[in-house]
Amino acid sequence: MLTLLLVLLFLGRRAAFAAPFQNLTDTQLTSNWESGPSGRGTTDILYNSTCTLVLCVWNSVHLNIPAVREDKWVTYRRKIKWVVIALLAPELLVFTAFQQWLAARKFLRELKRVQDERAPEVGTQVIASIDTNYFHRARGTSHERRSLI
Amino acid sequence: MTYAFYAVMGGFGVDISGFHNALEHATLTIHGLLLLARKGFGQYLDHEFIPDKSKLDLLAKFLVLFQIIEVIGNFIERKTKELPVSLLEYHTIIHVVCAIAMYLLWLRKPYNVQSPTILNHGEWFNELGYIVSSSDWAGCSGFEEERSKRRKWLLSCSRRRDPPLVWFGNLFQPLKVLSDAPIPGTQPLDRGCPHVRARYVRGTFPPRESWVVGQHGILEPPLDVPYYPANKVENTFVPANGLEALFFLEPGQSLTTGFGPTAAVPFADVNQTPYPRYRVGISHNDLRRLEAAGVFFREVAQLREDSPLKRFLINNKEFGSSDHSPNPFSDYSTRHTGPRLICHHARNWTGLDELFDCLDSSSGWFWATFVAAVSIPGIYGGVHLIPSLSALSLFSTMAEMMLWRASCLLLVGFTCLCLFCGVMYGLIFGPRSLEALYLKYQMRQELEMFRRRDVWSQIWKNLWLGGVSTFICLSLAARAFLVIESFVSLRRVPEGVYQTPKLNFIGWIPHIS
Repeated sequence: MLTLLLVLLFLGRRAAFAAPFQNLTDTQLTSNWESGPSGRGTTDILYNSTCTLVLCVWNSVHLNIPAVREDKWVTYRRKIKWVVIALLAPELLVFTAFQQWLAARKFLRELKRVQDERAPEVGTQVIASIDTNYFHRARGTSHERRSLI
Repeated sequence: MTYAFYAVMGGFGVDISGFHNALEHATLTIHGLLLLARKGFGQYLDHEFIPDKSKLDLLAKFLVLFQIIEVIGNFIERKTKELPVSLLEYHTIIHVVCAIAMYLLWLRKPYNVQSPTILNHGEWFNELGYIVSSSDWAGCSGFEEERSKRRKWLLSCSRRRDPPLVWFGNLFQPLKVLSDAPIPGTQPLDRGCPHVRARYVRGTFPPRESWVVGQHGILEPPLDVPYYPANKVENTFVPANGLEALFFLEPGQSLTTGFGPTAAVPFADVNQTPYPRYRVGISHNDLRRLEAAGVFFREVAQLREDSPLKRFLINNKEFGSSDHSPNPFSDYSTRHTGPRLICHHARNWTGLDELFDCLDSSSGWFWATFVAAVSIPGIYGGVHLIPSLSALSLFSTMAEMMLWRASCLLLVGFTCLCLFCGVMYGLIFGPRSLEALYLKYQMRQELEMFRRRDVWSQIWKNLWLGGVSTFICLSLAARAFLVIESFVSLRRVPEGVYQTPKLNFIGWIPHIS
């Protein structure tokens, strides 16, 4: 939904730029080449910055998974809460992201270690299937990496 | 890494409706998953699960990418042409840099997943019983607490937790029964109940000198003297959701599986008689859970000392060992004082639990995490301070500039204070002391419900809370001011802000403008 809105905004502004050309031809004041007006207005700064702020804040907040069968409204409210937090204290989210990244790294390393440790105890079949699944994932996630940038 | 992120963000749920009075589903944390992996159930964590991200998200990300390039390019271009940049743009740039950092760190984290993968726990029924018992379920407890009136007002603000149950399964001798007389003010026992092993006992206190001071300052009666539980029950826990309590466990009793209300007296409050105790109403779900956990405990107790699972449980702290963490097999504590194994849903907030999980000294990331935790807010304040020092003309009035500086300095100052205190504490007592401090704090929270508070401790607590909340309000106000002022300052800016550089390369990048 947000993305559609974005695309509309994106196209909408382009269309607005095209409009003055129409007007010019109507009044017969044509010229071959006109460079854009130099300088910018307060609205330009305001509009540009606000859009960037909202975009960055809304899109960069990656929330965790809500509880099973949680009310949609609760989930939505949580997102809004975090957007407000990101607006006031973006560095707090950076830290949260850092902590989660660290936790994920540790978890992966620990899981591999546990599986190595268990390897002599358990039949190697299970381990092998887990290993191949890791490879699958490693390959499968290459497209995810692109989409997340 | 996506898999790991999926686990961290709470991607693996379990159905606990048979184990918990109030909740139907819960989410395993990474520590819970690791416990299962150690027990050899690694293959159950494996699913074709990671949900597809929609193409629309991809498009949104591209738009954001263009926008980010435009904003940063514009900033650099203006800076090289020595044109002034408005406060709002400074502020935006800081946000953009933060957003880039978040994108990079969360690169592999699935976005916008709405519900976890539910794992089938058929094979690890007993383990799940232990995992569910190990949490205190603060905030979504399976019990309701009935307190005596006097203590109601003291504790009314704290979150509901499950009552702690302790494993007596490895006591070598059965508890000695001294007296069958009921505790005054409580209902008489259901004697015919097959699940209850030992009746409660009653008597006078053993001399305090003979009590053993366990870890965290908990006094345990020595095992070879007759066992004396409380002489007054103050809190009664009944199953939540209106479930029927099959019977009530009182101090000194335990289930046949070995679980019973704690016998330890927290914080040497024993000179107060009678000291507070609790009785717990056990529902069908609780019985099922505790029985499963008891089987698990017994299974683990028979493992070799060097088996990974036992080492893990004894160390309790997940990654690396810690001398300070309690041990379920010597302290009889089912509660995991280290990291949580299960939660209602994975919290987004980096709480103390997660922080100390990262701060684990064995990981090699101790100081990195510590410095990141305290310095990142300081950097935010510090970067905002730059325009107020270098470009005074950006501010319309003197007052605004002073306020801006004050807000920045407040944020920086707090960081310096934290950094200083933390470093000093770490240097004096060693990096591990922080962890120990935290475990102690956790333990205190656990035992909060039994603590008697005198007026002074209440006053101290209120003062402390007041100080912290004042500070939080101040820094919130400072942050809000920074945001508002960066917008408001646009009403009067130096002329140069409205000029664009001659060759406006960046302007050609498609963006929303």
